[in-house]
Amino acid sequence: MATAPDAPVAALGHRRDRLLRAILSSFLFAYMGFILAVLLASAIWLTRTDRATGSPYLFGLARDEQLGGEILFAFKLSLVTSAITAGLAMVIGIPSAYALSRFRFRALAFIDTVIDLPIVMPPLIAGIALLLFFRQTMTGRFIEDHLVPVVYTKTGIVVAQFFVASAFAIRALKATFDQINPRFEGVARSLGCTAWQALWKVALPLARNGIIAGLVMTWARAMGEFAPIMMLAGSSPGRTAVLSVTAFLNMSAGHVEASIAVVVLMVIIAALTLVTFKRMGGQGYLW
Amino acid sequence: MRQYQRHTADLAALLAGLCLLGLAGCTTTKPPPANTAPPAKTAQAAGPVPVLVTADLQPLFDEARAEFARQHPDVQLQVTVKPGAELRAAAAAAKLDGLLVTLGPPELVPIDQASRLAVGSRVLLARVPLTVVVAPGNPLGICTVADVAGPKVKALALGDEASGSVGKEAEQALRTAKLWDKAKAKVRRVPLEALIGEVAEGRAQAAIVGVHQVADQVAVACPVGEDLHAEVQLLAVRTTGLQVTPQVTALTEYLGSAAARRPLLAKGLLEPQTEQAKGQSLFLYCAAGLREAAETLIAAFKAETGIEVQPTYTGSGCLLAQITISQTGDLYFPGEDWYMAQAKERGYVADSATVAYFVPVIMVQRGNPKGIKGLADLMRPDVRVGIGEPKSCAIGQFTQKVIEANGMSFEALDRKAVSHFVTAPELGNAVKLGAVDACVQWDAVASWYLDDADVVAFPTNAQTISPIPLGVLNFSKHPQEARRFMEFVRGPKGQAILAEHGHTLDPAHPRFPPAGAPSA
Repeated sequence: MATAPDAPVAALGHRRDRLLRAILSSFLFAYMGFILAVLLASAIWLTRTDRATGSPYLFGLARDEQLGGEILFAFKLSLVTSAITAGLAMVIGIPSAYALSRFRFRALAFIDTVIDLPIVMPPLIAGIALLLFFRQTMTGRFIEDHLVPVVYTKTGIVVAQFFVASAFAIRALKATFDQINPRFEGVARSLGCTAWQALWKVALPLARNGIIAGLVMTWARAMGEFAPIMMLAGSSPGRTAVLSVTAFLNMSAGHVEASIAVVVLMVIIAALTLVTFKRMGGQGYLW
Repeated sequence: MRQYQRHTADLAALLAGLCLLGLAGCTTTKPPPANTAPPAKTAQAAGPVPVLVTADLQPLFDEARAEFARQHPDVQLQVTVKPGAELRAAAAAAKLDGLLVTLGPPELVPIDQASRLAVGSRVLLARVPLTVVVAPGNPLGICTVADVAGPKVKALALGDEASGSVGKEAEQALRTAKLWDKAKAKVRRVPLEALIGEVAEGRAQAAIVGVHQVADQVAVACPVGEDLHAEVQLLAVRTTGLQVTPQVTALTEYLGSAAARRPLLAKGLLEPQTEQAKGQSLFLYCAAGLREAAETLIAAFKAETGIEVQPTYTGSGCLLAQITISQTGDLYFPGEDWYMAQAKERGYVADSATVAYFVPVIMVQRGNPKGIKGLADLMRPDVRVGIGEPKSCAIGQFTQKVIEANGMSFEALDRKAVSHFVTAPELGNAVKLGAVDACVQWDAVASWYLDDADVVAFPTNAQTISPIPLGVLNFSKHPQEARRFMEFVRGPKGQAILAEHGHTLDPAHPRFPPAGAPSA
């Protein structure tokens, strides 16, 4: 490891360097320990004995058909809606990101800002704005009445997730396309490819891992979405309550253990997503 | 040149986007639909109306007609009572004419085939649930439908072919429950009128009957699940020989009304599921803190009426924002009157009523380790107090009210509180998780946590008790069904469910009476 040409300087083994290394890494490990302790606390709390049933909360939850069923339904609903959202976000995201990365637009700063707005917008406001669009505007009403009902339906979940997650998709994919030297496409063009072929045969295959990483991240982001979904799709258990909404609902009904179980489940999903993202070579800022 | 083209393309895309925005910008406002008026009553007239009633339904019909006699004293009824099979055969053979009151619908098929039913005259009075009856005292301990097929029951009485839907649907229920193969060997088929006698006289250990047949000689063991069979209906229908006079119309209209249903429902029959009500769904904005009670109410309402209620749960204020923006939905069930008043002020509420009360209590750690006896103990320096934020939640406002009503300073409590919370369940969670020692909490919310926390009650008055309202929204597309839900929650079944979930129904008898006061 230490012989690799790009080995970190501190790995070379001088005593003073080791001291520096120890001091600096202690900060790193302290923070990491803090994160792990917080997450573990939730998991450990679930194994505590519930005074009502005399067995650990987790067993009680597994036996409670209604609560367990509610969480399972929310889990499946989250999986399905976020998968659809991630697919749709890719349909919009790949062309948009490529366009943003390769073409010069006159109002690039403006376009860039608008695309970033759903990311920085407070999620609750995004939800209210979506509800307002679908119920109070002519376009929205037309969609609701003639095409597909959105408000308080499962479609609404996908729409709310899509509104925010697509912005992330475009961000992540643009970072990928930015890293691919446009000269590759230029060379392909000079060798007889059309512009379409250069995109299809050179840029997209080169971006493959980045696209998959972006897809996974978008999917995870859609899975974690909360406030916009609650406003637009409502929070009806067994109908429109996704995982995050279920955690909230149970917290507000005093079922702390169910909320915490959902939290632990979501942390596990997030961890798996991150591992996939890193393995696929995903880069750039995530949120 | 190419640069020019690129700009044109961008410009076109921008224009298309702007058009979309422009469309979006044209806001629409739709006035809430007016509520439909109840149907007008028909004119009165004299003359006897022939009515044909099957023998098993006679007691029910007598109860239902009592109110009719009061509403229409001038309409005479000429009632013929015969066993069902005989009566229907006579009607089919044109030997008898009149308004036929019977169970159905399979019973009507032979009469219909003889073209003796007046088209469109069918009135649905109620649904008749099936039930398992056994000898008084239930000596065999039968408590599920599966027990009926078990070894303890030597003979099971079911209605015969001529008895119509009661016998047919009992068999169907056993088949759906996959009990028919085990049970069929011991089934005794008897006429409908003889079912009760079979059990009372010991020839059968159990029988499946319509709930209206249950008599004193037998005991009810268990209901037969409605999902196991098609519904048995109590129907009224005109035979073709009956002249349609105003009296006949008055009687048919009365039989379809809520006044005729009321005594039937008291006898255990169920509201009919009209075609209109079936598959209909009401949208309910429900405060998250009322979720547990609301879920039971919704299930019970569906069982009784067949009307689905789709709830959405979040904070009452957030719900109000959703109502304001979306202008849809049927019912609003906030945790506090203030939100209902806001909704009324904005013109969203067609009708509302108080369905229960929240009474403030002190919620403490399990076993009350700090020995808290009353509100004054909250001021002790060793007690970690959490309070609801008065601006964000009703329990916060009422904490302030009760503290001030008891001559203490809310500011002092506010200063010493270790934390502020924005909802009542968050306060409860904080006690459960050990973050605070005590808080002022609603009785119903505190009752969720009785495994992890204790309650100390203190005297309250009308000013410190909070009514819980339920309202029908003006935008409702099904105002009648929405009103029916409201009436259901106010009615005996709804009230029992609310009490079961720890709600105080009568402010004079709180869920947790203070020490020395009479208990609820």
